[in-house]
Amino acid sequence: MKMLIVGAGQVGQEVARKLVSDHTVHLIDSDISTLDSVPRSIEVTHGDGTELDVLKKAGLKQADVLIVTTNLDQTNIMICNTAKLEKDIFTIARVMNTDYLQTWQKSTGAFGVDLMLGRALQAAENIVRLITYSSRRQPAREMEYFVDNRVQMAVYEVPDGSPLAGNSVAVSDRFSRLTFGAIFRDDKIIFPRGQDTIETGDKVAVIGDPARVKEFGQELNPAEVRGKIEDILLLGGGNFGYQIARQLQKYKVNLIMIEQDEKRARYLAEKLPDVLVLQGDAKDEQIWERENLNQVDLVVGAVSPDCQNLLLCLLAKQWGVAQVLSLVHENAFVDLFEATAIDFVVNPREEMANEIIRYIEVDYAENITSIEHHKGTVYEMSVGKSSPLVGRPLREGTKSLSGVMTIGAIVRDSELITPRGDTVVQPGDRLVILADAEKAEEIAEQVE
Amino acid sequence: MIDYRSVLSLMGTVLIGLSVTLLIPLTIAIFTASDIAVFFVTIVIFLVIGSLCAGFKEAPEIGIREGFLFVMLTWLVVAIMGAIPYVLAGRGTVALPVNAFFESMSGFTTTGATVMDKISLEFHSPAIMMWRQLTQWLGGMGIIVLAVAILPKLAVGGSQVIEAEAPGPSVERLEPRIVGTAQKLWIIYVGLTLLLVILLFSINIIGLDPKMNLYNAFAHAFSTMPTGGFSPLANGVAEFSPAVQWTIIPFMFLAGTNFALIWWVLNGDFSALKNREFIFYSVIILTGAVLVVVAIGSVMDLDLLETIRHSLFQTLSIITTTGFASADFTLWPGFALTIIFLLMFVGGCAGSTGGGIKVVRWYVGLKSIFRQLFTTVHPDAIKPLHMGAKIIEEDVISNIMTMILAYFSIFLLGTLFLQLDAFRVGHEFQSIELMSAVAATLGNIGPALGSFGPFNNYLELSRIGRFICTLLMWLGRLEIFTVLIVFTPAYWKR
Repeated sequence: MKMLIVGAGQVGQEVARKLVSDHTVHLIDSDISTLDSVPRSIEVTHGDGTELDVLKKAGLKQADVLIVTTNLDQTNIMICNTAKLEKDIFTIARVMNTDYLQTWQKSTGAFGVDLMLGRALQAAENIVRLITYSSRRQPAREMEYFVDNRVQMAVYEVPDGSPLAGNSVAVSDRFSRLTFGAIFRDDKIIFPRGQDTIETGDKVAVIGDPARVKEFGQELNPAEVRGKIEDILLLGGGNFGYQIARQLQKYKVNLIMIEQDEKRARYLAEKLPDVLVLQGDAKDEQIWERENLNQVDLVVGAVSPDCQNLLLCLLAKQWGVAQVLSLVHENAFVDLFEATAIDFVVNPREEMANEIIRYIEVDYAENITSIEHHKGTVYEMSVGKSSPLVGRPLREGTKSLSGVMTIGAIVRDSELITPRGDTVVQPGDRLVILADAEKAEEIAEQVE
Repeated sequence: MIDYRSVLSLMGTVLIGLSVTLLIPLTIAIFTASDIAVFFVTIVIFLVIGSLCAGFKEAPEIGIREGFLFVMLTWLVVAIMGAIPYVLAGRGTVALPVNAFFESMSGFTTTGATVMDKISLEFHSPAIMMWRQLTQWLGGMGIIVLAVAILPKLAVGGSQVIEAEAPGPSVERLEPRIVGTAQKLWIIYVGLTLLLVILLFSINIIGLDPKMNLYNAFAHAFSTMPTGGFSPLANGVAEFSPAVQWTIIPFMFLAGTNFALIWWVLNGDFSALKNREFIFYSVIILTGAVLVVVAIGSVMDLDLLETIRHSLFQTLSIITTTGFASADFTLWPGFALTIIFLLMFVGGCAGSTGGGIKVVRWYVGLKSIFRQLFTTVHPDAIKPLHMGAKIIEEDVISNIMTMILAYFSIFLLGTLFLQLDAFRVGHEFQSIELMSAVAATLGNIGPALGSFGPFNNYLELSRIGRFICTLLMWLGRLEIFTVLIVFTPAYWKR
């Protein structure tokens, strides 16, 4: 397929890079310097995407999908509209303002946009899921549901002093209805076998019954009994902060926000009546003392720019906040953030790129989710009659694929079956597969 | 410089317009063959003075500043001119100009306090008594709102003068054009008045009350809808059967409601009833009525239905600042009198015909107190004041708090002046009598407690005392600021 991407920012470039292996990708941006850094394999056009001529020059006629990710909502919508005038192309636009999204949701194809993605919404929903649905003591780093919420995947970090640390996977495998999908250690992804050990600092992806997945999180860290997350402090009331607060407001949490700008603080307080909005500097120790802010269960850093956010999050940690979650916008900083004491790192641009890819590549599997910064891919798919897995115990059927994937769960007639070596797959079964990101598609084709 | 020529010119236009309404008492005068000359002369005076004033400027235009002068002056002059028929008719106490001025101001400001003795249609003519009722009806929705609605000359700058006439926090725009809004408010007002006339008269037709003839039906509708309180009968509403009193109860409630809400509900938007002020208003009424039931139920020899009727009627009458009395409440126990006195400070809703402090100010004021407590604990918190989905701006809050304080300051000063005056003439009143008299005139309610109760009048005050009360009614109707602004030096400086 031919993809037209307008806006060569981080999201645009990331999507382009991922799609270029299987598709023809054409990037359009009005800033020529950003186009310079794009790999040769990607076609580029310099120009204003709102102009029909520019779109035509970039090959609108031959294109199948138009992805618009400039920084301006109105521009994005306008470009989709313009393209639709010329031909019936599938359009994807990303917007910041959630109100546009709500309007769009009212009727399909409104604004000439076939898929509209809220920039901050994605990140906000992710944060909400992390803190509201994960286990009480050990919130998951990432999580996703599969097969009509019957199967859950979660990634947990093994903390210091965890009773599971040092054990082999086989010993830890006493959890019924749960499969160890992968272990992420030092930038590597390991598809565990019985003799592999779990170590402190590992990130473990488990797949299985949602209740068991939660229990596993608790088991990982039984010593530390931490209450449910009730009080959340949000640093920064910019677009992301506001959207996150809007999402969090729907849950039973006490939300406190700090925003420095007085006008913005007032705007937030007007829009979010249930949130305690404090006007002041997040690094002002007196505010922290007056409001006992170090007692909150979670601090969410949503300050711009990243460097300021990092320092404020570390300061929060320094002042004794139990858990800190930080947003990071620059891809380059993600590893750096992870290396610090910050407990969770969420990259909204990456989430956005994932969402776009997930939508476009929907053809090889469903619910494709990227985990641990694109090292692993989790997805679900049905098994065809001619699949090499059918009719044999899994041990044999997956021999050629071992080392690059794990079958995490099988759902047959709405029943969850935990895959073990002797499980026999039948045609029509739904599989939840965790695979090496680079081999994910190939594996999906083989399994089918 | 204040453009007083424009102000006078517009006021003249209003006077000419008002002369038309004098045709109603004139018609009655012709039919009853009494006081024909009185109203004929009055109309001529209105037309002459109106035309003289209107001639001051050909194309009058007024800004914000002129708006205040225009409104306060128009109300004052209309009240003075409205007193002319009482003086010309020359019957009873109201023939005295200071009393006639009191009576006229009391009518236009929908207060309902009276200095008229021998209240009856036989002593005073039906035409005079209808004029007395009509002044309330004209003042109820606002002389200026009426003028803006029907006089094209006032269409420009209409919203400013309407806000000066009802400076409450919200003249809710029913239409982008202020003229349209004013017209719609008057349509509701006229519609409800006619409905009440029909209902009251049908009570007569089905034989439940022979005294409620067509004249009385109009007279009492002209008094209920503007939350006035005058009646052409000596004992007022108490003279009628329970059926009449029950009919008036819901209309007093409606008259005290924001007319914009009524408009929306009539257009099928029932979510308007979730309005916080309306809910608060209803809660206060119910609470007040229950307290009065408790207060009079145990002491007085009434059955339950009677107790409820009197309690509900009196609570509504005081809160909406109507001032009707279904019974002589001055004879009720102290508990009930305390409740009635406290209710005098509530007032109707914004955008209603009721006067007083008004429910919305209490709502915002009380919320603001709680907010102050909150921000004392959380000094860094930004806490906008929500009223339902609406945000009340800070300057509006400060305006409301200042108005409440100004209201109580004037209440205290008014009481002090009445006491000094009473001392001057050697008249002994109880403090509660004087306080309630000030609260009842400043709040445009009418009858007060003790000597100034619903079956008495304000004649026990000296002439100066009555004049003070007249000014209080004027101040109260224009919600204090519009009158006071004009007396500040800053207003007259460039």
